[in-house]
Amino acid sequence: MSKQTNLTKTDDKLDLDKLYLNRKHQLRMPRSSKHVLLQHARETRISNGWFNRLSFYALAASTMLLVMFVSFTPNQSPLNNAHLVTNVELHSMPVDNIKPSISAELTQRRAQHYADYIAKEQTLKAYRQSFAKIMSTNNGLELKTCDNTRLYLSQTLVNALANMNKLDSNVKKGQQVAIVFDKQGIILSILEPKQGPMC
Amino acid sequence: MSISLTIKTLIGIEVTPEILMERYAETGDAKVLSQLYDACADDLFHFLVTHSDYTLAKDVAQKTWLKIIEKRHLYRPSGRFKPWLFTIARRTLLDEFRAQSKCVELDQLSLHTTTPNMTAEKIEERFDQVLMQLPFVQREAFCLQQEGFSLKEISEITSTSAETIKTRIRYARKTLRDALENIHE
Repeated sequence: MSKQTNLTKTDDKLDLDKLYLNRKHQLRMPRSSKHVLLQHARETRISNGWFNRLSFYALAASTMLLVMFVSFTPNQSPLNNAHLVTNVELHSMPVDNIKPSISAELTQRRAQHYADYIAKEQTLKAYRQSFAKIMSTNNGLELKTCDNTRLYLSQTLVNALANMNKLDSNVKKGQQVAIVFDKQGIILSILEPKQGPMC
Repeated sequence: MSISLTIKTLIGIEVTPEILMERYAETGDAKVLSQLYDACADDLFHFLVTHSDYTLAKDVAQKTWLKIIEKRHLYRPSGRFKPWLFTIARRTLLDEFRAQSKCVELDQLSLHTTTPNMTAEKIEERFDQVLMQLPFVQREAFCLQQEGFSLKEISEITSTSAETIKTRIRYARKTLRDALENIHE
């Protein structure tokens, strides 16, 4: 043993280390204990050896079984595979789930159309009508309303109204017409008034 | 026994307990254990018999070696073997004390509670008497120091701070010195 604390160096006359060593030499472990201990060590080693071997064989056998099971199972019956595919389709696309989704979609679309229809109705109902006199037909129309406001309609708008049959083809310069607006002030149609001049 | 160990022995390289334990942990060879036992058993037994009686020391030493056999796979080659051995032995001894008298306070633990007998003429006998009359913790610290353990190792074995160990050793040595000086006078 190499490491000793410095405390030992102070004892000059009384060599405690030597006294301790002498005492140690007189008190030794009985030899019989060693025999018992080594016997136990051998037995432990033997039992451990058996256990290790058994573990090894068990592991090897289970691995072989696993390999056999994995390699033979897929080729046993092709019909089973087809059946399996059918089952998967059934599970992945259940019939019961289709009807509600289509039905819901149709209901939604119907509701949307109805909402649009109602909105259009409101648009048509919200229009106002004013009367004007056609002043010119060059490069579009110029209309003079009853309150002397002049409206210039571009040729594009005139063409668009004509295409939609919203512009009466019988109107002529100097004639009074009825102008139909929607609630946003957009001209919906220009018609010949049925009740005669209003201004 | 392994070839490398035999060669080391033949060419005179010191085979330390650490090498032996490492080899034993690997192989479980009873011959290696025998060498390890020869190297450490007497030191351990002396430590135990100084802190208990002969029968208990023999019993605890036996149990300690059995633990070494059964837990050899837990040995870490990074550390020294003897501190590990002594730590196991000390814990086993304290467990035995606790089993005998439920709760044990180390400071009060002393197996020799009789009045000190200072009639011994020989210095060896007197040393033996005084040593056995030291408080358990002082005796323990002194013995471990005599076994060659460093302060750090002793504090690890006993789970005590190094400063406390230093104090215990100083008190133990002073007591021994005082008692032995008296015999000279």
